[in-house]
Amino acid sequence: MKLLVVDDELDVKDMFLQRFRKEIKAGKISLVFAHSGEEAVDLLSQIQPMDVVLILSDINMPGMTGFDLLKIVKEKLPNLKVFMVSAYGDALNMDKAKAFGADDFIEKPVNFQILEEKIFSTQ
Amino acid sequence: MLSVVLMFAFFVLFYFPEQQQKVLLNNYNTEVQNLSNTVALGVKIALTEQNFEGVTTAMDFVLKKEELIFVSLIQTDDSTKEKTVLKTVPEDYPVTINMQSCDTMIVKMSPFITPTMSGEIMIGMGTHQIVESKKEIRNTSLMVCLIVLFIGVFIGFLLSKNITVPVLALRDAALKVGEGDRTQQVNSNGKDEIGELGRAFNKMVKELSIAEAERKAAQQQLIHSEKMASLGQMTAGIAHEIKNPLNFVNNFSALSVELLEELEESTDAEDKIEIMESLKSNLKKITAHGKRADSIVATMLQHSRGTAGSKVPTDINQLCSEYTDLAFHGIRANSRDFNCTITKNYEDNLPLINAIPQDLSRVILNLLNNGFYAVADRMKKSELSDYKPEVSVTTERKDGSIFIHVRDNGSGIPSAIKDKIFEPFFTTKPTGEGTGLGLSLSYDIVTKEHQGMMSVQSEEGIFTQFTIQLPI
Repeated sequence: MKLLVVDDELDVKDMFLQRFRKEIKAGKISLVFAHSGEEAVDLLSQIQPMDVVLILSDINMPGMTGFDLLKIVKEKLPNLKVFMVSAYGDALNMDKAKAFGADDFIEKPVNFQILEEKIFSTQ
Repeated sequence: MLSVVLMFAFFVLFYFPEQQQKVLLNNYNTEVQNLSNTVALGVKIALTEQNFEGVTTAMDFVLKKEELIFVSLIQTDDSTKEKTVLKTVPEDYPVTINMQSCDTMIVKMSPFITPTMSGEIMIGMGTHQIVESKKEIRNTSLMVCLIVLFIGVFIGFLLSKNITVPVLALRDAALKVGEGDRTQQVNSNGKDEIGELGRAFNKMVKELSIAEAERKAAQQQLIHSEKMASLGQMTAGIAHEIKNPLNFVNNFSALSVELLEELEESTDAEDKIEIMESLKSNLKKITAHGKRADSIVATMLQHSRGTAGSKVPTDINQLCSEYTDLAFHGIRANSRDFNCTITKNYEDNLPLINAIPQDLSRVILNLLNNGFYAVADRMKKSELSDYKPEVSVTTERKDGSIFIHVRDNGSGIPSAIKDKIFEPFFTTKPTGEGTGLGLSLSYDIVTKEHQGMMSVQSEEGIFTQFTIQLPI
């Protein structure tokens, strides 16, 4: 399964590549990265065929936020699942994510064990 | 005052006596005329009765008058109308037919007609008494004037002692109180209204002093509250900021443990090298993000500490960048709906300037919070669905100064209140949402602590831009 990870922090890419190195080697997961909401939208329009099945997106990003991206994805690619990943783990934020159609909410610091379980449960 | 005195003197010494003399002269004229008429009547009766002794008697009547100078009997020829002096008393007085009054004598004539003779009685009376009266009046007036003057001086002295001096003292004390001296007290022992006024003044100054002390204490409390509110908002932003580096510290640490286990198990040299490279990279990232978390905490501590007082070389771009992010996260922590495009335009290679970073950061935070508040407020009120809230932070070097511009596309500031926005306690926010001290404190930090300038440009409905100018 192809995952799109959207986060303005550059080290997120390394972190995910290391964490999922075995799964990537085994061909269970492939990862693409975008460092802004705008880049994610561009990438989604370029990838052919559209085999991204899950987006993991930070909320707090300069310019287009994770919530803006969520709305666009849910409007244009409704089958695409979106998990919001954020340091704002309060109920209000989570409710808002749900209201915009997020499929799950993961609070930072990320527990990768839980994240992995959630990712594979979408299959 | 001098002109009043001169006018009074003129009145008392000249005008009043002159007027009196005129009145007396008028009366005297009448008296002399009456006298003349009386003599003329006596002579007429005597002549009618052909009593020539009676003529002398009538003329003698007036001789008793002290002021009499002469009395003459004048005959008028019925046919020629020519006048002849028949008799004069005293005989040697040089009388002429048409004698006139003068300064020293009043001359009056009274005609008479009898069957046997027509003529006139002419009397001359001296004005010596009138002149003497005038002198007496003048002297009396002068004396009265001097007495009045003396009384006036005495009253003036009393007034000065009891009224003018205390009132002037009160005036001087009031002026000093107006200049800020709250220790002024006046003598208030008198039992009259002036004493009461003094006691009331002393009481007022004491109460003013107490009220001012209370006001200063309340202001300090509000300033403290403003700082605490700002700190609270910072804390929310900082909590978010710390979670991000912690995310990396935790996960790279856990990943490193996994890699170490893999390293222990691995037998492939290339694989081991790759693992060690990854480990090295992870440890570097852990260090970097640990330091990042540390600096965030240090920033929070700096902000809570207040003015440290000493200036240090400061990178303005770094300060703006750090606090722009903090301000944004702080607002987001309190208002999840809030969104805004933040544009940063930092001029490269700005020189370091001597500044108190914890205080300048407070200014930047305040301006950004105001900008975010403005765009959020406009968003709530805006009927335009395409309104895009924007806040920008720009730094530039120009004319020997560094400029920081914080601009928002909120509703702008009405021109009627633009002059007031830097005033302490002035706020347009609803009660409870602001102390009205943010801009005032910011203004003082920029101008008094950093010898800079702070200004605002705004157009209602379009934008607001605050500019800080700091000398290099």
